[in-house]
Amino acid sequence: MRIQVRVTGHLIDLCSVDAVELPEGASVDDALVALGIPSDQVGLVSVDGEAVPKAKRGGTTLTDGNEMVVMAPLTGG
Amino acid sequence: MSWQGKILRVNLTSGEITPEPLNTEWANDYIGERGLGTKYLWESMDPKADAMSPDNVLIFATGPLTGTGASTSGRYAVITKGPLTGAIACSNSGGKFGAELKYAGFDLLLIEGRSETPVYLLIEGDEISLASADKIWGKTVWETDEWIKKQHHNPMLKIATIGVAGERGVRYAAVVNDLHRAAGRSGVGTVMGSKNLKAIAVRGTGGVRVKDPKRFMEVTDEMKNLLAKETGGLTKYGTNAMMDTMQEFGGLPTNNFQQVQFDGYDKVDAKAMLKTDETGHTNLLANKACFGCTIACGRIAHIRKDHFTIQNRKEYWHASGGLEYETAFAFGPVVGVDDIDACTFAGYLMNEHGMDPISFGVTLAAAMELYEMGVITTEDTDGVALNFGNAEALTIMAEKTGKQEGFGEILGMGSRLMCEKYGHPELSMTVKGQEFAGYDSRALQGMGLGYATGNRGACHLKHDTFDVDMDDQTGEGKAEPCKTSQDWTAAVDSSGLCMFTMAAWGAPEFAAQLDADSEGEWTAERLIQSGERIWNLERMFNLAAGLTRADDTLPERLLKDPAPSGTAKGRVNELDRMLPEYYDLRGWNEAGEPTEDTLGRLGLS
Repeated sequence: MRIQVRVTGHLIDLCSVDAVELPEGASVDDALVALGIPSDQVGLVSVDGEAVPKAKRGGTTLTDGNEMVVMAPLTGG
Repeated sequence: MSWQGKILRVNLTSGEITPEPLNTEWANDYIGERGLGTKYLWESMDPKADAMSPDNVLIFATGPLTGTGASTSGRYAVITKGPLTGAIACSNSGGKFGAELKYAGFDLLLIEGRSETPVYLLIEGDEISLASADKIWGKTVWETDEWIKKQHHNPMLKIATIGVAGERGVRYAAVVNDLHRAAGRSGVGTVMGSKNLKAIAVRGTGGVRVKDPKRFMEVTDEMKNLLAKETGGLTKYGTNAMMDTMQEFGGLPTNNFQQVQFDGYDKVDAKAMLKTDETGHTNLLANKACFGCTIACGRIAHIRKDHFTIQNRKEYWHASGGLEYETAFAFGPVVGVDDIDACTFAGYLMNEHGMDPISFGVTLAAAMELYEMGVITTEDTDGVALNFGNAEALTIMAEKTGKQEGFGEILGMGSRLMCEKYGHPELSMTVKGQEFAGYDSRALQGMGLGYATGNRGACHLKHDTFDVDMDDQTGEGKAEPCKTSQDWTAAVDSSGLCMFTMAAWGAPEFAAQLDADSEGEWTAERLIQSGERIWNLERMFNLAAGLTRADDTLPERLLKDPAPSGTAKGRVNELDRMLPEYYDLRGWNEAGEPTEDTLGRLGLS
């Protein structure tokens, strides 16, 4: 399946693709691994606009055509 | 230790300048900078005094690590009673001024009274004097900096000054040092102006001594390496890297917080600053670091010469301070403007005239909403159409406010007083009279609690709940990280180091550096308890000034109008749920007052 991907902030330096191919049943965590983005550098992931908390990344299954946004952590400023 | 052991008391009414020993007992209990300045303020004035009266006291305080070889050691803070809020004001700045003050032999400046005529304070070697500022009163920050250096034939002077905004009573005037760095928030420059004090110019040629030089070098080297691993994004993109995250998250205040996402965000974000346009122009020219900093998050930018803001004004064709996240938010989404050159120019004007960009932008946003509602018209606004998105209106009003001309006098009142004047206080996006930063608290619940309980009013820099706010958009479990991070941030703000290091360093890392630097045993536990003591002393100042629990609140828009989009769509801020839990954790009663037990535990009885 094909998942649309956007990243924010400095994560653009880790991931420059706008989509990723994943096997059926892949989770948000699987997608992050495939994209090469370390989990501890992610502030929040949303899928089709819905927030996916850290604890639920492994249990949230993606489906073909999902739009996943990987957001950098916030640091104030 | 790196304290010089000396403060300078300056009475502007009498003209007396008196060096005094540093109260080391207070330094031990309140660390330095923000904490130590708060203690001196508490002991030096009646909190009920009018912020603009001679009875207010203005303090410039360094931290124990200011001027040392630790990374980001250029920090100092300005502490006073704030004219926007009537509460304690503490505004922190970088640049080189703070370290220079230490090298001139002073840990802290305490300024009392009011001069009959405009003056500036000169500290140059052994010469310490108040000099006439007649020739620079009415001049900009940049003109003042240049004039003082020429007057004393000393380009090495480091200067903290107000612009015209501070002289003429803009309630959110800043103290700008080293041309582009500012103690920007809470109107500390307004207080300086009310005292007829135009500037402080310092040249220091001494150094600082640390307690254990070998251990200090080892520890600070290790800390710099740690910092380098964690802050590369901040170096490359600056704080404005947060713009697209806030957009995707749905916490980007837009059009005076009516929306939480802004279509034009990608025209004013960090990537837009790096983009080269069809003419070969790139907004960002270089990074800039403050004294001792190994992050260099500061931005130096320039504006297209054919842009409407400067095409006939060559004096602005030079490079100058560029957009950071808060300035980009305040001149961009919250006023609906997506013109990066106009935003950059507005930033120049803030530095030039000495104003807080956050308070200006959020006040202008409220004026734009009043205009679009028909409450004010072009008859009020000097003929300028104050529609959201009008980039020309942004820059015209920034200049009018800086110079206090026309409708700029109204904008200079700040959002709360302006909205009350026009009969719509509900449009003021403030806490205790200070404007919000660029985070909508319907999406960031802990941020809302931090805003509501902020001792200097709405502020994003006095706590750190970003991680928990991103991961969970309810109010559950937010009181504890808000309280804990407020205490910790108070300690960091008092150290002489920059809070951006918090991305890499926790309490043990700060304590290790401070312990190698200063006398006494500095542990993580002691630092955190000192931070809690500082927070509570600030609270005591505010209670004594007349603030109450009723001031710990948010505008109805954030409490009742659901977020219209984004990942928090449909949510309002859950302050009612968080605030009682927060008071309980703090050891405060239902009125928000520290209990006797709490005061006793912290040594504040």
